Amino acid sequence: MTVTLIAFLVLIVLGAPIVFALGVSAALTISTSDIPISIISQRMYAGLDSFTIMAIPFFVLAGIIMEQGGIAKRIIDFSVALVGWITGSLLLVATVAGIGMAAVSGSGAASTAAISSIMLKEMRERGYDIDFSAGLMASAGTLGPVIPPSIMMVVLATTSNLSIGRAFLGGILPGLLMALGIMIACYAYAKRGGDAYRDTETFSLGRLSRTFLAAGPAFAMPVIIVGGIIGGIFTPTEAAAVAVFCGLIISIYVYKEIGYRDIPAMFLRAASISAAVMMIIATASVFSWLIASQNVPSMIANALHSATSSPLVFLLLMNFLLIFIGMFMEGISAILVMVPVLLPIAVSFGIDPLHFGVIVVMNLSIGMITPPYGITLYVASSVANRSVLQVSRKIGLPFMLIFAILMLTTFFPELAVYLPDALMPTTIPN
Amino acid sequence: MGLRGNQITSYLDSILILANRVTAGLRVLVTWLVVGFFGYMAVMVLAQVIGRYLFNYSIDWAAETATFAQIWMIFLAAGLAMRQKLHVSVDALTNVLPVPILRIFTIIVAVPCLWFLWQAIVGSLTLINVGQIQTSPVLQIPMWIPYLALPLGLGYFGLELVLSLADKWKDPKGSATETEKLAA
Repeated sequence: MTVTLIAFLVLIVLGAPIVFALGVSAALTISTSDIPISIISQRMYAGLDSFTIMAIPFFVLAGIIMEQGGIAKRIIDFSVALVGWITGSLLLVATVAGIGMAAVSGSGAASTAAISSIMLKEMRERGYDIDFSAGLMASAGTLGPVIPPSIMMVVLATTSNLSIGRAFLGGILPGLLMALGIMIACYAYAKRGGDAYRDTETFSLGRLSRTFLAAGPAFAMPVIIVGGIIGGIFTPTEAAAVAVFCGLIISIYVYKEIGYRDIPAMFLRAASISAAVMMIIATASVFSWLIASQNVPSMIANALHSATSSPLVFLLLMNFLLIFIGMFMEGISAILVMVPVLLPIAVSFGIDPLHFGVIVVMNLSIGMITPPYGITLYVASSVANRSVLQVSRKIGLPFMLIFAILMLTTFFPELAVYLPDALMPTTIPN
Repeated sequence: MGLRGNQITSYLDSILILANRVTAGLRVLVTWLVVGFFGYMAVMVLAQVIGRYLFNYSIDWAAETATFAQIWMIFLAAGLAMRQKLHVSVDALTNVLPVPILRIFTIIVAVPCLWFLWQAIVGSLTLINVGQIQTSPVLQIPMWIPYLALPLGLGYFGLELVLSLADKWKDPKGSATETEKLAA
């Protein structure tokens, strides 16, 4: 087992793609043991031979359709009408739009890209601090994986045998609290920020209802997806496919921003992104099979149990470990590598697996705004034409507030498990 | 590196141009196969939903064939993702290294990666052998059909990996990589 872990770490540090770091280290271990080498291809096949994980390519595709189909623009218009009259308006608008994008798409980077490319121009014209604004839109992107639908949650649920519907529900309250935290950061910053931030729009009920109607079809999506899954109308995979078709119909016939000829390119892009994620699922299933068959989780669990018996101490340790990992590793890969090891340990401490899963996703979302590898931080900086270093200097305030919500969710499991228990009181995985 | 480095680069250039030309045709074929499989999955899953609610008829083979299409799609698209630099890695350390060392790292890393792909391809031949007599539960499809996605997809993945190595040799810092990861 030490061979596996050392090989994995060396390859990661040398810059090998994660899919290969997992595959090579597993193959090395197998070839030096008496396990037949064909177990590699067998496990890789088994890792992808699943109707449930088909939700991933469909959610990726739905996200790409939303991104290109003019939905982001309508969500931003509605957000302007909703909170554009408050001090620090554009910052608040970006956050509210972040909630909206999180609720229609499954990825954080896509929503940061969409929001910042639309909003940065006006922020610059009004004299907002660009580094803070970019950092803030990167932070709004962290809502993407927490608020359903979420690709990270699908990956989490399928790798740990949780129900996707319950995982989605578990992210709602923590996600909304994170958004509230980010909005407090906006307001606090804008209050001290001078005149630029007091330049606001006047509130109008007419405008609010008009923009709401325009964004309406987009807002129907999360209702269909999440409602359909909770109500047992669709399996998550079916809900994701329905989201793809609704997204296409809205973008082509209602908003008229894309046409049939754009479809193959969107399918290709979604397939390529999904392949990158799902090949990791394939090689991770070889890796995690090895880890499980050698009892690594229980070895670590025993070591930890002799150090502490408190679930809270364990969870706090996990928070620091995961934030550290999130600094260097992309979230979905981190889930596939870490969760098969950590979840059984969490359960041995008596922690609700869903509570643990939500905390994992929150941590890795925070990883999207922590340098050196923070994907939304990178996206927002490059759209704003600033260096990651310049933007990350201003990320402290939103970071601290999001971190506070993470701590709150760590201490109060109800935040993660109340909604799932109330609305989907079943533990049967689907 | 000096002159010799430049020479290697220019040799590489001409080999690359040739290899890319040969691969280009294959790439077009793979692209359309991937889009086709993905489209099939979407249509089948939707048909399943419509069948169940509108016609009260369950298409029990839809999920099975869609899952096989998914396997083909993913193994084939893995190579396309390599081409588009979508396979994520941790580059915090390697980004600060000087170019000659990065080049050496690129080669050191590539050898075990190709070895792994080779092992997976060889292993999949065993699977295909088993698949001659094995059939799928619903439609009785011979299992070598989905299994065949492994050697073909992973072989193409290896080809794109080798081509990307040459690219990386020329431009180890890979300036374009990050923006392409954008939506992942």
